[in-house]
Amino acid sequence: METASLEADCGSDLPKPRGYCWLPTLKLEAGMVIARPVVGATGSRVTMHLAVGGRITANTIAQLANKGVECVAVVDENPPEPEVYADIVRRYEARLHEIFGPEPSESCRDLLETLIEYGPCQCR
Amino acid sequence: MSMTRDIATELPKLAEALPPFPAIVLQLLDLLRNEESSLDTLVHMARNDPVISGKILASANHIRRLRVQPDLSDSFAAASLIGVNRIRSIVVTAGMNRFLAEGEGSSFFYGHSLAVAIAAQELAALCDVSPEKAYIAGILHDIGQLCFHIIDERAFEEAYRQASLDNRLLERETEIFGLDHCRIGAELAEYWNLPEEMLSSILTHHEEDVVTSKLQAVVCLAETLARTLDMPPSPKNRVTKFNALALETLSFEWRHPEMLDCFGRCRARFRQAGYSDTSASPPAFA
Repeated sequence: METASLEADCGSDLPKPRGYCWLPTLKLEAGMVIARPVVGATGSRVTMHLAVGGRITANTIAQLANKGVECVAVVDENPPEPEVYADIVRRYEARLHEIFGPEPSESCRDLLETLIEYGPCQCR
Repeated sequence: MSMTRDIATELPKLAEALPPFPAIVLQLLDLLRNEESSLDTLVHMARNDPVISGKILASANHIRRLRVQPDLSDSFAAASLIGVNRIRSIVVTAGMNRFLAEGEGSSFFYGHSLAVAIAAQELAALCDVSPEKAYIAGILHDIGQLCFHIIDERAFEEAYRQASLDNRLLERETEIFGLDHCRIGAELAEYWNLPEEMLSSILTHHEEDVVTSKLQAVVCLAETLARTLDMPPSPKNRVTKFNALALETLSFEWRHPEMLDCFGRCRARFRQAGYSDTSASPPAFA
């Protein structure tokens, strides 16, 4: 499943949430849906691969801990209301502009624009 | 300025005032230099450190409990269950975090050092740099600032406050202490016999157009990333420039999907370390 298909359709001109968030492995719960591929390895050998769209079980969480996977992207099944999300985005962008200052250099501008396009995290 | 002093000559005394550098991390660095560390060697090292061997057991027993199995008390059995990579990660994170916690710096110093370590480890995973080395270099990158806290905390805080207005931290440190935090950090790294690439990562982590190794490039970018992701949230986080050559050297592009996921992973791991949801925090950024 591609990232784009995970995005919630909020319609109108309001910004759209990405539709998934990264959670520490210890905060995962059974039933959550994997949003980005997970690869676990022992040494240089890949020993676990979890595909996008799979549901997490208690056994999955044990395997992830076993492989030292510290965080996993899961689908945000309860995204915020569009107006609420738009407000989060406004505050996020305002903070980014504080960090980068009024006149970011050309190289900084690229990072700033990327972070704005990427948008805030809605992890709760 | 009359306060200017020759810190370099006071280095042994300063090193004594700092927490001892974790010997187990030095041993691990030695192992990483030569070969992939074997499970047996790692367990033998870890057994001499009660905190680290406790963490290995706890990590293994966390898995056992999820499987409704009885707890283990044997280090080798626990190590076999969690694997070499996880043990290496425990040795580095537990060893370095304990080192950090035993120092006397500001809360921002701890949070920032941890954030840079996490970001460095995540960036290292996207290129061929040892994630363990990157984590250690990240924790240590501002170790010179910890020295300034010990020498004259008030003078250093004032320098930092003024630098947030004019972005001249290194010059102000040199005016007050005779050298900046990058240089004294590198002197300490040499005193501790850390590898050369770690020393140069500490020395040049504020350089805009210098790359001495991939590890140093990773630390430079991790410094930028920790501040842009506001980890930890602070008015001290300002990014007016960054080392674009480091980005080019590592063949990184900010817009690459892997890099975007790296932002999310850094944020999640930082939250895991207990740095989220403070009342003063702005919204959680990815």
